[in-house]
Amino acid sequence: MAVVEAKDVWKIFEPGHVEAVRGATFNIAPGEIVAIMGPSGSGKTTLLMMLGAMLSPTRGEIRIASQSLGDLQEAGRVALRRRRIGFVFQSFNLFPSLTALENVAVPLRLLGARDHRRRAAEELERVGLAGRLDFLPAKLSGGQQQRVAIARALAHGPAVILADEPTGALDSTNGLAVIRLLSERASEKGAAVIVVTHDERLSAVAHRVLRLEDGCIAAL
Amino acid sequence: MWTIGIRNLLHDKVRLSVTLFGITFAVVLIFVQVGMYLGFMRASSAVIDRGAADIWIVSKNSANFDWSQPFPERYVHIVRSTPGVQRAETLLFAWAFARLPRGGTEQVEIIGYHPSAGKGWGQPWGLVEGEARSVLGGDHVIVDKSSYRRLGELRVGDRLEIMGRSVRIAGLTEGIRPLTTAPYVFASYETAHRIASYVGRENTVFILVQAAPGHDVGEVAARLARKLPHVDVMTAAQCSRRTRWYWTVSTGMGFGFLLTILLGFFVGVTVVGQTIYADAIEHLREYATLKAIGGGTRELLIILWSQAGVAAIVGYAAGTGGAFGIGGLFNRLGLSVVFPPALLVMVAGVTVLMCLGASLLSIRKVLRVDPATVFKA
Repeated sequence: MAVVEAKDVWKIFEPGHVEAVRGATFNIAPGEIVAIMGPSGSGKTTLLMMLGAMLSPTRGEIRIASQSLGDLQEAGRVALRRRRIGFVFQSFNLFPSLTALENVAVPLRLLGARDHRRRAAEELERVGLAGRLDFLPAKLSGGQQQRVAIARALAHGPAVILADEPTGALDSTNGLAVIRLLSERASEKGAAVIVVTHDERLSAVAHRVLRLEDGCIAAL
Repeated sequence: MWTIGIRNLLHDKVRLSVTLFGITFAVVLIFVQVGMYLGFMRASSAVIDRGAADIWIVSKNSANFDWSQPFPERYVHIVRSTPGVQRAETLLFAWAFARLPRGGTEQVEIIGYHPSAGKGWGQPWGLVEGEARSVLGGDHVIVDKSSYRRLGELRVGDRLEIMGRSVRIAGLTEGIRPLTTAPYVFASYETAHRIASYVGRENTVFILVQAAPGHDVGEVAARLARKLPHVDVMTAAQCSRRTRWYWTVSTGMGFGFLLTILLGFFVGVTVVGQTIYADAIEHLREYATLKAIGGGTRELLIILWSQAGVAAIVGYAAGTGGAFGIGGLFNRLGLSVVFPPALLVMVAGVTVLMCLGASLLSIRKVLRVDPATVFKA
């Protein structure tokens, strides 16, 4: 059973009638790691926004954990992101005024988890940051910050992780370490991972690569 | 979620200081202005409000306590013979000039009462030396310590010349401040007549009436008004209101206070609004991230309102402290500033309203932020 289903998904931006995504169709199974690759402007980020319920397709259907995004109003999309999706961003996007522990606890608190501190601490231990729980992001290295972001994305047990250029702000050593960590942790939790990247090394870690060219999936 | 809001608020110390300064400034301004206004109003009608009379009879169309004119004293007999009246006493009020021992002249307001009438019939209150009956037996007067700045530091036994008559200080009060700049000088009814002879021995200025038990004050007042068409008959509350209304509206004093209060409010809203908005803009990416990971309107409002709430609480506390300090100073300088408990609650409400109002623009901005912007590095 696929956790992500995209069926003939189109995104056309008006005015100018720009076809950013054209007829994308694919399924992703739980635990699968899929890399979306392609040149700039090929529609990778637009596709990621649609998978993240932040942008509606012009045509076609996207289902996340059996839930059709087209059936959801804004509040339903927010709830879906809160429960079913984890995000990892290129610039980490941690809350600078919160400690590593508090950052990881945010999605758990959004879900009303009473044991958010304990679960956040466990998640940070699993990404090797047990000794950095009370550190503010500014006191952590780029690699450590991205580990916190991975812990945050996985803490609430989402069905899908959407990662936008997760190694883009890291050197090659840290980048590889981070992507290995992401794939390991996602496999352990059975979450599907969709990574938008330019980094060809990721294709070695991914189970599958979707290559986008001018909005079309050119190769699977 | 409020942790994010408060941490962000505390993060930029300069911005926090500006925010708190803005709220504190507004709170102090509102407190002191309202406190001064209430102090003035309390002073303007103090003799009426502290009186035991249910009904006040004053000259026709007299605008306020201090502007009342003489009318025939014989009216008191008509009043006393009216059904429903238990007691009626005359009270004299007159403007006069005092020649100061050091030279120069000051205007004073003479209040002539009947010492035997008891408390609440025009006698001075807050006596710190002497007693209400001390004015008997000669040209004796009682003055308030707040008059020192105008009349000099008078002691019991000192003499003062009012309208060419030498009077002796027989008592001192504390806390009786008229609204006007002319201090009250309390004297016996007879002495007051001798000092303010222009009033005319056959005239009085007020008749104070107490309704008999079981009689409706309004009905007694209406009955008296029918019998005395050439004067105004009012309940004590109406008389007090008329005086306060005169000073508030007719003189423009109320408008002046209101303008300053509104100014304080809008300065507060503007300063706080700008700083909170600047903070929201600076952290817009964080708000977008929160929305992306599933934060809804509720969470965003908690963050922004926690900032506004904390700023309001701290600013209110600092402003209240400042206002009480300034109020105390003003009181020592002779200006009556009053902070009743209801004012504390009202200003707290205004402060919260000010801070929430100031955060509206930020709320609009933050709620509209597109979570998809997080994908732009």
